[in-house]
Amino acid sequence: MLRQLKILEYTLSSLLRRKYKNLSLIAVYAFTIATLGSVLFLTHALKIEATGSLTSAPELIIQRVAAGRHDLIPTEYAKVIRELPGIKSVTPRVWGYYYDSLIKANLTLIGVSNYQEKLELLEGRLPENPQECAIGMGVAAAFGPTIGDDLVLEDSDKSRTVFEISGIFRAESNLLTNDLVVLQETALRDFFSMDQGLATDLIVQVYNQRETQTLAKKIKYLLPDTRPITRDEILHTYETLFNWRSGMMLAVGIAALIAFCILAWDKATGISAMEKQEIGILKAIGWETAEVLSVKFWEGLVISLTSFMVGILAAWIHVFIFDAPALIPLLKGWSVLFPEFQLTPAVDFYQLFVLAFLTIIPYLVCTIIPAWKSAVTDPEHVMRG
Amino acid sequence: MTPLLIVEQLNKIYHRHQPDEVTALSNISLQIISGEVIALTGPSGSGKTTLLSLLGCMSKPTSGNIQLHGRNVSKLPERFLAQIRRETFGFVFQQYNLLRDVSVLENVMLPLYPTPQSFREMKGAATAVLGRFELNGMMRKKVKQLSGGEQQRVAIARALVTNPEIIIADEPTAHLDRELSQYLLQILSSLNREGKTIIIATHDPGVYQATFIQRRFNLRHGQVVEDGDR
Amino acid sequence: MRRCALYFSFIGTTIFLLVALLVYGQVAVSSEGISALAGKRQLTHLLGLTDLALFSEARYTRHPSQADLFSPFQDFPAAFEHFPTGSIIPPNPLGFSSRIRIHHKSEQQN
Repeated sequence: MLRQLKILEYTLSSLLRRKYKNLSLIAVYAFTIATLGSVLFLTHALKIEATGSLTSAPELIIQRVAAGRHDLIPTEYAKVIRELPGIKSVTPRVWGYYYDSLIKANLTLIGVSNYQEKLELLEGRLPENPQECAIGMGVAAAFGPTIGDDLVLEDSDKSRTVFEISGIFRAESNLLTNDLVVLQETALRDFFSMDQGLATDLIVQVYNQRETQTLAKKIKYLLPDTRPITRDEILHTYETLFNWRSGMMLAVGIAALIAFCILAWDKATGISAMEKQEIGILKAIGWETAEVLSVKFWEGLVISLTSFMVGILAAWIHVFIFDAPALIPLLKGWSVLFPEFQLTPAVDFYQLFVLAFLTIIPYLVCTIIPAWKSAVTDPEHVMRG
Repeated sequence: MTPLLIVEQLNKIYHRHQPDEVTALSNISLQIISGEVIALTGPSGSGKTTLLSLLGCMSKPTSGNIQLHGRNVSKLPERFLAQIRRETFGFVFQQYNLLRDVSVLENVMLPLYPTPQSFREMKGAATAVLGRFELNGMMRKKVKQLSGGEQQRVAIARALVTNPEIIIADEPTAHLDRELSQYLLQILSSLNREGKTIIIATHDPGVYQATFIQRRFNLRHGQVVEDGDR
Repeated sequence: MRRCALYFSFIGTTIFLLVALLVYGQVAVSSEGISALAGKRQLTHLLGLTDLALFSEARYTRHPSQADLFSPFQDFPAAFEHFPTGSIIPPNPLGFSSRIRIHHKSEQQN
């Protein structure tokens, strides 16, 4: 133990002799780890947010598909579905999109009816009559109204409808409500000119959640032009966030991989003449091969562990304290109403462990292996200068 | 008196069975008594450095035996050789082989790292030996800031810090002027008076003709051609 | 052993900090006070929400779990995305459901 501490002391002294080079190495390495760590933290936190909030999403949503595209669904389909055993309730849902060319933003309009509860995350109240609305914070920020002001929307008949703002959703709910405009269902039907016999989709609640898949298949069989979406499928979408297709994850991953390959290549292509001489001198004056390799081990561990800790802490601070400003432009894309959110600081320990393993072990290997040959060579070569 | 070092039929061949095979030493046999001062002489390429490195357990012979205190060390595993190098031998290299960007104190402490001594004990031992060579005022200086003579003294201090029984010096006066060479010889002589065995490889007549040299082995083409008193 | 002690102090502090932050995160996830989870679930249930309001570029980025199959694959499945965030979220559906069948003439004659 004492011997290893002494060797560590020597290693630290050796690293400090080339302090600018080693500090630069740590900085680059920590930056790479911070980048990867930030992406991991952000995606995991978003997933936790989604899986936490959306576990109360409807168990089944029934859409109608016509010519491969989403179409309005006749409300009479609800009667067919209600007759299936295991179905608790079927409720038509009216919602849609509204594009405002001034702010170039898409709002989501939702119709509600038959509610009693006071919402925790709503300042004010939900609309109690067709002339009222509740809006998300993003909508409020885009137009600047407060409770009591009017929101004027132009419908497809070019007529303007005025809604008094009865409530604004609180900032904690931004990830769910940022672009929402909540109207009474009747008001929304008028606004969209949607027939009473139609709805955007149907919400289905079931008694036994384990039967959801079976019921979805039955509904699909009975109503072939429908597309049932289960809650599991909704959650799956968010579990695979950042895992898919082109761009983002690949770009970040490849950049980090390239950075690391450069580092590893630099280490593995060889140990400098000065380092070889140092090893030779140590061996000549009585250090064993194992002790020389211990120096290299500590060297690799100090650099990689320091980089990892600094990088991960920086990633945590970047994502959970500063709300990921470096990643937001990637996330935001061309979205106009991007929510200002503060994520719950949830971290996946497994991912953290894997990242630690992948950053520390390869670096250790790349530090020890090049020194191996010199370390096992007879020190007599040192005698020859 | 039992010899300290016994060398029997020692051979060293480099790049064996390859086109550039070189026989550095051929059938060397000699004995060294404890407390002796031995000079190995001969022209460049005669095998002096090779013999020193074998005697100092820095490499293994191709064939033959080396006995140290009656123990055959020529076939020991590397970790035992490292321990012997550390505890029994002190090396003074031709090029000094100090770490130039490291302080004088840390250079002298280097052989003590693998020992069980605490950091404080290591520092104490290094400071004591540096004091002997009047180098205390330079302990914090980096080696590259010292003159040749000062570096040579640091090298000797490093060789002595483990209190070895045998000092091996390879061309110790190669980079020194006459005055410093004389000073070095005085140091080696005083070390011998303390009971240390000294083996010096040199082609400097000022060294091998010095009064404290007791025996001389003249090497030529890897063989001892002359073995006798000075 | 000043350098050793300094380094261990530094790493020890960073490890302690990281562990503290991780523990805080675990507590925050389960603590409804910090995460406002109850309120969010209430909203989701009452309004029938199915997606996070993260990306408002197109309907299939705003409601990826509800998007019809046509929209994300509108050019062809391996096409580059129209919207930057389309390459963050996966298009549905899950699994395979082939609806194409071939009946060979020889089978029909038999």
